Amino acid sequence: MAETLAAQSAGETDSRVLDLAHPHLSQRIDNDNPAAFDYVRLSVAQVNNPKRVGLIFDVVFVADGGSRVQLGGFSLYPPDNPGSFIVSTRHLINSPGLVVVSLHTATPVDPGTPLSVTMGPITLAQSL
Amino acid sequence: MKEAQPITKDLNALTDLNRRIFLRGVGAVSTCLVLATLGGCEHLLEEIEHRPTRRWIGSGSHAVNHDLAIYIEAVKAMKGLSPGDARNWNSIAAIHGTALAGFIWCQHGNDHFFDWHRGYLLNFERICQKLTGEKHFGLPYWNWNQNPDVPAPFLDTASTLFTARSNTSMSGDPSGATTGAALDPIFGDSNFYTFSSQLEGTPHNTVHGYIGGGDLFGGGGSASDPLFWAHHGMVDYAWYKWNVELGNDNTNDPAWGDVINSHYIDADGNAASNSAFASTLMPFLSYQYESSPIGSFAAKAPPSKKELQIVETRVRKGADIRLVISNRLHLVDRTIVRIGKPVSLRAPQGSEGIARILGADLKREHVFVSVQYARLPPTSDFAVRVFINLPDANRNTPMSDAHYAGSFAFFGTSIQGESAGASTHHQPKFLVSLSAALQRLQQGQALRDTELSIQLVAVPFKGSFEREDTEIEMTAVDIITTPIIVRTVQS
Repeated sequence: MAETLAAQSAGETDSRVLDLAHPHLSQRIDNDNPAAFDYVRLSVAQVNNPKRVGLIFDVVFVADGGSRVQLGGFSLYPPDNPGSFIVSTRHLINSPGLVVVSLHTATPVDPGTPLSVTMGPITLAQSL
Repeated sequence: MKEAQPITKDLNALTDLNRRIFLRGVGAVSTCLVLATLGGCEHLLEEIEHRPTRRWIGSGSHAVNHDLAIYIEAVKAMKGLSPGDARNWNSIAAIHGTALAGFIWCQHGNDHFFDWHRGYLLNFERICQKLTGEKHFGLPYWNWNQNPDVPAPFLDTASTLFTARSNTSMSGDPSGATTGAALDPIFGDSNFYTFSSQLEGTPHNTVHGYIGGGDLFGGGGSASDPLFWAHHGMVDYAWYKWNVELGNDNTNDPAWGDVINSHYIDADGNAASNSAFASTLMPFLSYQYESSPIGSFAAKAPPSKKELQIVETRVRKGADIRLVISNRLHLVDRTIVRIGKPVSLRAPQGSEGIARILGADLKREHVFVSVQYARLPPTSDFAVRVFINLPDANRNTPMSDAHYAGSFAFFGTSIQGESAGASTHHQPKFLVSLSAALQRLQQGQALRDTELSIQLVAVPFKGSFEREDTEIEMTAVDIITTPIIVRTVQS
């Protein structure tokens, strides 16, 4: 938990790849009127998961002022299947900040287990 | 035989509902599914009123424990069927997918996740009823929001319901995907498309991923785990709760509703299919739910007959979204075909329309064949299978063929003097999606951009046609593309 909080406060990450050693990705949200958007859209572009470990992602918004909001999460099904997902903002993204995606495994795995997920862009979206 | 009773005003509405929906022609309904459900006209109303109840496992009631005992017997029976019986456990599971091959016919990550699985579950439930002789059996569902632990009968290692799984409770899920905090905003979303996407990606996928992990339940072969059916019972109940109990509307866009979901197997081991529109009415005709809470949304008392009719009307109308046709390739004008002989319709060679259709971006557009007909045929004991670029297609060509696109069927027959368009509710047209078949053929490099043909093959439901010379008068057959209507606007 402490590690997750630290990651969430550390600022935008450069790499788009999540793995066991680097399970958090942060991306800045700088929209002019973020409160108007209904969803965070997250895209999982590529998955390397030969042992088919169950993968769960949780999504948090950390405002520049430091407040954090748990938005929700999603999972891959099957666990090596990329895809595009939406999580409701509940209109709680009201200011600039970071969206932080964290990778979890369904069961404990050895640190050496081959596993990586490449994330595509994270964007805010509205429904028509 | 029961003496015929006078039909009350309320019951008339229900009968009328059935006739309007199934003669609508906008979508196709498997007559086997309907007749098996309804048992013929004289039992129609009684069957609807006493349709099976799918109960909440977590209630611990005597009734749901009884249903679980029947489910155990049904699973044993299906596992005991010979490989040659299409209803055997492995064959039914393989419709969804296998551990080795992944997903096969199931719909995921698109707008047909809900309706495809609804039809899959209903046919499975029918098989359970048939094999156990328990015609009022309803598939019990696992409400993982109220009861995060995998229900005890599925954890008994001596039981046929047991398979190895990565976890036995959702309470350890780090994302909280099945908690009220996650589900409340999802159920508060009134948009059908985004509700579906979130319900699938968050609790549905996470239950598979966290409980199943790398085991059977977590992968393409998940339907082989008896827990799959209790999990998808909850997914279906979630859709029902959102739509019926909470008053949200599905789309009424024919581009969604007229898509035919197929590759099911019915209680007699025969191929079955139904339209997406038809699936929205299944909880009114074929089964009902014992209500339970999800997040902040409480359980509801069963609706009165009058309330049910009001809700059914609303569900049937859906939300008003226009169908936009971006391309149309005309294949044929008025023509009469006999069901005993397959028909092949070819687009004019060298036509620009062929290149546009074959070049459609299937992520952004649907491709359909649109078959308009003048009137209902005199018999309706058959389905019509649609193939792409397979001139030799015949009634023995399996639906597993890569060229197979889908099928449609007629329900009811024409009354002399009545034309198909007589009712203001009746649109004498079928739409069958070609998108999945086109994608398969493109990936297999089996398409040439100068050739496009559609084959229509009538196949009797039971061995042979009642009348092989039955004619269908088609007024137009076109291939159309429509944009995928609902998009999110990205920042």
